[in-house]
Amino acid sequence: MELANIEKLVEKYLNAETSLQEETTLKNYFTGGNVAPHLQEYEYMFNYFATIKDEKFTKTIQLEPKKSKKRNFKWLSVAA
Amino acid sequence: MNQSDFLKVVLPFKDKVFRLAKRLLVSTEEAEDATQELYFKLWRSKEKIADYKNVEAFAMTMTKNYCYDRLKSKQASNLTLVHSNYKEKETSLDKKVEYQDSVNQVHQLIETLPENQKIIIQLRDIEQYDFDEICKMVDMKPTAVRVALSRARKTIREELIKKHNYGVS
Repeated sequence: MELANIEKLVEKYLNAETSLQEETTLKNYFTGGNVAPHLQEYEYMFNYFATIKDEKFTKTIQLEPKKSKKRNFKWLSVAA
Repeated sequence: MNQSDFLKVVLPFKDKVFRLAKRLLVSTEEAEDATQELYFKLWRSKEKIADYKNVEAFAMTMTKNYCYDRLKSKQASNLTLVHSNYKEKETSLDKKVEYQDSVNQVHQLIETLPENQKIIIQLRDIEQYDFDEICKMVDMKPTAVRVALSRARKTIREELIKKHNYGVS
C-alpha cells in the first residue's frame, strides 16, 4: 500500500469516516512492522487494538447460579 | 430453545462480552463476574432470544447496561484498578521495552476517555462492529457515534504524540 494512500486513510480514520474495510487496510499496514516514522503513533494504536482482542474469557460459563450458596447468604443476612 | 441450541447462539460472543465488561469495569475479576451474570440473564430470557434477529447486539447492550449499573453502585467504594499484562510481540530486543510501553500507554489513554468514547472505541476499533450495530448497542444516533469515535481517536493520537515529544517513557 502506498504511503500517500495510507496518509489519506489516516485522515479519514481520525474523522471516523473510514469503512471497516479501510480500517483493515490500516490495521494491516500498521501491524506489519514497516511503518513510516511520522506515523508511529498509529502503529502503537493499531498494535494495541490487535493485542487486546486476543484476550479471552477463560472460565466455564454456568447457566444457573449455585443455589446453596445463595440460600446461605440469605440466612446469614437474617442472622446478622 | 434447549440448552445446546442456546449455547450455540450465545457462546461465540463470550469473549467480546468479557472484553467490553473489562473495558468498563477495569478489573479482570469484575469482568468475569459480569460475564457470568450476563449469561444467567440471557438464559433466563432464552424464550425471547429465539425471536431476536441479533442476539449478539442485544447481549452487548445488556453488558453495557449491567456494567454501568455496577459502576454506579461501586462509585466511591472499592473498585480496584488492575492493569493486565499483554502478550509480548517479537521485536528486536533493544526496542522492545520502549515499544511495549507505548502500546500499553494506549490502554491507559483509553481508560481516561469519557464512558461513551471508551465503549465506542472498544466496539469499533477492537471488536470491529459496523456503525449500525454500534448505534443499536449504545442507543445513539450515527452522527453522535461518529463524533464520539472521532474525538476518541484524536485524543489518543494527540496524547501519544505529546508523550513522545516530551520523552516520557
